[in-house]
Amino acid sequence: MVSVAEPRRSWRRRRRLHGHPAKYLVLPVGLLLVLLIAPMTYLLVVSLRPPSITGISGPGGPTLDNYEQVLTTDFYRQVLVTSAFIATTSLVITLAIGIGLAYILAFRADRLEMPLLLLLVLADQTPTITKVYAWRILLGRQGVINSGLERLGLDDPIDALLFSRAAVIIVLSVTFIPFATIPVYAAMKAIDLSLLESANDLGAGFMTRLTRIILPLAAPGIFIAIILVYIPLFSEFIAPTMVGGTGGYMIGSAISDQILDNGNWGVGTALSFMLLLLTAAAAALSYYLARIKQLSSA
Amino acid sequence: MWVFVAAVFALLYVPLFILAAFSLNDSIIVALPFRGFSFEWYSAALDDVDVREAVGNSLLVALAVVPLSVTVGTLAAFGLTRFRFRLKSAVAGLVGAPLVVSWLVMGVGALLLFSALSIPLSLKTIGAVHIMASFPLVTAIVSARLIRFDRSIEEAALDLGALPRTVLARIVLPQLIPSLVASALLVFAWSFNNFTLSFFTAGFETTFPIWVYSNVEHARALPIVNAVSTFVLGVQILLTFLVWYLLRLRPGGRSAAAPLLPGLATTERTDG
Repeated sequence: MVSVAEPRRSWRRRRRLHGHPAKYLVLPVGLLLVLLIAPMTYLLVVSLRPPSITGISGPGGPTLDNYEQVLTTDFYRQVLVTSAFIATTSLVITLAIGIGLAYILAFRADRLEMPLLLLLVLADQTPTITKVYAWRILLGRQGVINSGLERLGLDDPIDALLFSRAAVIIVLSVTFIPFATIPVYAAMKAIDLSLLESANDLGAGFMTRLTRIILPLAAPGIFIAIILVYIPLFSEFIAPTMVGGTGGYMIGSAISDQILDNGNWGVGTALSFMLLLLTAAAAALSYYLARIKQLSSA
Repeated sequence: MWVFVAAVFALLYVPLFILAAFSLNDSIIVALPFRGFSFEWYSAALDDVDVREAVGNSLLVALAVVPLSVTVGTLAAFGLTRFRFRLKSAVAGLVGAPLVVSWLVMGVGALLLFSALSIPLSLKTIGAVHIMASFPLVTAIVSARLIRFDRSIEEAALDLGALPRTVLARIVLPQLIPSLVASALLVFAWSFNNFTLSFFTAGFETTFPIWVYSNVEHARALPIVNAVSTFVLGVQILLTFLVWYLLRLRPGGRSAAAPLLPGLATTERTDG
């Protein structure tokens, strides 16, 4: 990217016109310090203190007890494994569908491009709770799919549809499609069409164009999609609670149960802080990879 | 190719159509077969005190959050696009953080803070957390507009003797109005729909998503859940169309809406 530095005079003039940046930033930054940074710091502090049955934390010095409990108890280890499995499987499915859909929208949809994009945004704007609830109606024991199968003569309903790991994966993979599609679409839309045309003229087939031009240039969008999808997937707890049962019990459900139902702040905050670290790591990695891709393609 | 597209949109929309169909079904059991059309669940929902309170609370919170969130978000957008200063990238990273950090973790943190400071949980605590988590969406949308803004117009006005506040009122604000209205509608839907942050900071209050969540195990309440959910869905779809329409009406028309639309959606999240 080439950017020409603006003359200093212009910036000085802007300060004269608008005043000092602090005037604009005190309120937003203050709000984030009080309601985001302070709670996250306190979260870390509580997770490093001995657990307590009556209060937020017990007496005593800093300890890694809560983390040790999470990492050594079979129950929590199982929860971590289930979460990683469900989040990763759903990510792969939703990304595969999203990249396919983004390609069609960006290069093949012609006049349907805008209407389909609007439908995608509409699907994204509906309340998550409503979407998950609607799937519950479909997947239940007496749900639409099972009773439909019964009518077709298969009178042995599929028990496993609701309250299973598969149900959580289905619901999550579908509800995250708009999310995975839109950033990839935006990146593909920015690709210079003449590149594809000249590749075509020089005899490159569809796969060559896809793997050598489209996917590398869409990579920053794909990385954004991964952050936008993977982090919420890991901390998901509406779908696990509403359609997951015991087989689909994830970290989010564990945090919510420990803190809201059991008052176990120690384990709850330790799990939350682990999620926060994972978020930071995923964001940093995606940012780094997106930058490398941008630099190497520039 | 079109089979794939049709299948994807069917997965996205068929569950919602079935939900809407059941809301009109004349039966207390939410299962096939359909027993005929009836609006009884809509009138039952209207008579239900809990439903009215939950939807009313969501409306109240959203209506309070919108003006504050748009103001704070616009201030941040001005601060971040119009100045150079040390720590600018740190401030930008901080403002972007709520778009990435999981709502669950933010909710737990806010609950922890409120209980440590003995602040009782109420609609106000929900609202405060909603403002903190939603203003970065406004900042993203308004910044996108401010960056493309032709500043020489402002400088010309200034050279011609206009006061800074005249420049703001006559030149800057009129250009920002579509972005501001779009952000307001977006934040309204965002706040109304948000489950996770509200769930952790609500205490004994209910909002629409919390009400749905706590009623899915009650078979007798399900037809009412269907009716209210369908109604809310309808209103949300109308709002989204309105955003779309507003952005299309801008100078530049259809093409001006296109780049903003992905921008709108990438700032939305679905984890609650």
